[in-house]
Amino acid sequence: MAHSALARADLEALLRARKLDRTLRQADATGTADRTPLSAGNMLSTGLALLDERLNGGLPRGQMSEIVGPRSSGRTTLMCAALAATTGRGELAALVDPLDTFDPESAASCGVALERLLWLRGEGTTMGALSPREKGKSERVLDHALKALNLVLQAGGFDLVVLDFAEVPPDAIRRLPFTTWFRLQRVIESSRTVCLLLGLAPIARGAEGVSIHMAPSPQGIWHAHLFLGLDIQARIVRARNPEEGRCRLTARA
Amino acid sequence: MFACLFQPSSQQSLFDVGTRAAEASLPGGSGPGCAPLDALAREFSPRVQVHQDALVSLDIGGLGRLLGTPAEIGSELRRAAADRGLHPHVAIAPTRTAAMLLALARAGITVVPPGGERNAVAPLSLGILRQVPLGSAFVDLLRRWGLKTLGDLAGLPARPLSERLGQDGVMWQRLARGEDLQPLIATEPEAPIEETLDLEWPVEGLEPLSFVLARMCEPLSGRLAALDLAAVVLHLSFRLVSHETETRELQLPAPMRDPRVLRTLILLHLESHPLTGGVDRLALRVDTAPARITQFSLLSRARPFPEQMALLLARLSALLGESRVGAPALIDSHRPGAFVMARFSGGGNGVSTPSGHPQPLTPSEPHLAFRRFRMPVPARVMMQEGRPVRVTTERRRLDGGAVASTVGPWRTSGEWWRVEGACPERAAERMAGRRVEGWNRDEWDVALADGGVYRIHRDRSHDRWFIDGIVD
Repeated sequence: MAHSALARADLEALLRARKLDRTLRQADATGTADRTPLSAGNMLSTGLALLDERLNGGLPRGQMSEIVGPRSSGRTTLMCAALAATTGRGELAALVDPLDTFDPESAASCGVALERLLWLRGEGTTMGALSPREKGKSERVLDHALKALNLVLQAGGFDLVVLDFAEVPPDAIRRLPFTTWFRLQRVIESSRTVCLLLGLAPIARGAEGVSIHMAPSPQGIWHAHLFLGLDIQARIVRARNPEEGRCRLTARA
Repeated sequence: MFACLFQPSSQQSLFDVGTRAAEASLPGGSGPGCAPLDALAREFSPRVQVHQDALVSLDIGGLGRLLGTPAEIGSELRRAAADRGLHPHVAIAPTRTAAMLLALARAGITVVPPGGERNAVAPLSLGILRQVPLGSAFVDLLRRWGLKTLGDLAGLPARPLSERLGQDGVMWQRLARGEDLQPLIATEPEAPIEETLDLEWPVEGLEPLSFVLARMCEPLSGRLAALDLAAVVLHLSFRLVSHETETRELQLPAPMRDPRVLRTLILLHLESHPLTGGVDRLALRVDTAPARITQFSLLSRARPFPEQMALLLARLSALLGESRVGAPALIDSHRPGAFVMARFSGGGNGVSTPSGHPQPLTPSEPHLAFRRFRMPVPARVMMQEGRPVRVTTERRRLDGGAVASTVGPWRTSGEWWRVEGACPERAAERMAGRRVEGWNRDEWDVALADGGVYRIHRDRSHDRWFIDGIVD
């Protein structure tokens, strides 16, 4: 037992010296996590004060993060809030939308400055387009989306780049080579870009990235035949820390 | 010595511009001799300044040894102009201003000896100053003072004039005396910037064409750099082996002259709009604009250069299609989901604050977003007491179910004057602008048993139900 602990310490020291595992930056000698937040300049605000507080300032720049959850759990609301915060500061954002489900009118009401948003619409029309029966089209849609994402990340200059796989079946995403995400993470490392993935199930995240798991909403908030909004419950997950914090918000219709 | 040529318009032809009728006419660019006047002047002197299309000054210093006296030079100018079908006013004077005023005012040839420019322009009416390219806002004021001629203005004492009108008054008095305010600024003749290449054998495909384009773009870029210009529009002409000619026009988002960027933009355009055959002759012509000057700021974040952004957009357009890349823009319509795709420029007018700047307005209660199916999903809806109680579809992963909560209906309609009967299945066509129809629908927000909140609508024209999207 003592031998394995020693071997682990040696391995971590080696990785730290070679800077091969960035998660070790957060661990001190005793193995407990370092809670010192990154500077504000290294974080990209999500536009939601409570969530930013739980995230120690926002989404880490130069990292891939993700928002996952079922339908009507607030994924798109969080995405639009982050886009609004980014474009509101005068920074540029991009949205890769393979299924073409982005609604500009709704985004504008969320505060997104549309003129600073580069919208890349895929040819997918509905989620039915990605059915197993149309495997060829499914692969083409995802391939084009990933190529477009890669081009935007390589070009730089965008503070937030979102890949919207929220309506893409998880089995279609699982068919992608796993190295895809390593490659994309390598592209944005040492840059100020945040790559944000939206999905039904966890897809990928960088070593210092965060996963925001959205809990299923109990069918929204209804009162006397009025739809008032959604009760959003987010759980924040980081590497080596499966549950770092929870956040509860109310999105108003 | 300077000469000035003025070609009056046809309605103005030959007249005595000492009259008030002539004062009102302006030397517009619609005269018959605009570009020919410039070419005529360049036959006599390399130092030519084009003031307006029909008004040209030239330095004739040194021409005396070739052509003779100033009067003979004027006659030669008139003769050369007549050969071109022009009948310009010609004035020769020691100063450019005096020559210009006299050319505007008098038909034929006017020659002013050295030192006589002030007396020569003195009889001219004050209204002639309106026709000087600099213009005059003081003519009406001077007329109210009782001044009628340039001689009257030239004779005023300079100090009281300066006290009343400031330095502008002094400037106009110098003009009225026939003195030059600035030296002649020679303009270069506008030569088209283009490259043409005849190939020994036809090339087909983008890869060999890229080498050919590199050979054309590099010298062209060098010429642009020498003139401190940049390209804004690329005109491409390809002669194919079938002896047909295909022309392309690329509007660049910003003036640029980097040869690699120009070549890549052309290749990306040809990738998405391929040629129909092999090419044996290429011509590339550019429309130019002054080169871009970039002022960097220490306080705002650097934006991508327009060249980089143009390349990125071109690559994305080649991958996804031109209509699928850009910035969304709302349009003035109540049609659900209406938008247009605008060219993405990065919101150039915006000012970016320093990174890390705290957001002053961080909402604690975000606004709910909507995820829209661009082509609404056909659905079956069971109604009970006028409200939906069950929604199902045939789409995979959108099975629907019992309705747990519901709100509605909200009835909307519009553009009924267009073709009646909006059919949501043709939404893609409508959004692409190929077919626009009216709409007439009842909308509901429903929460289904699967936990999702959806927006559904009934097309009242066809009595069919659709799912518009997901509240998410």
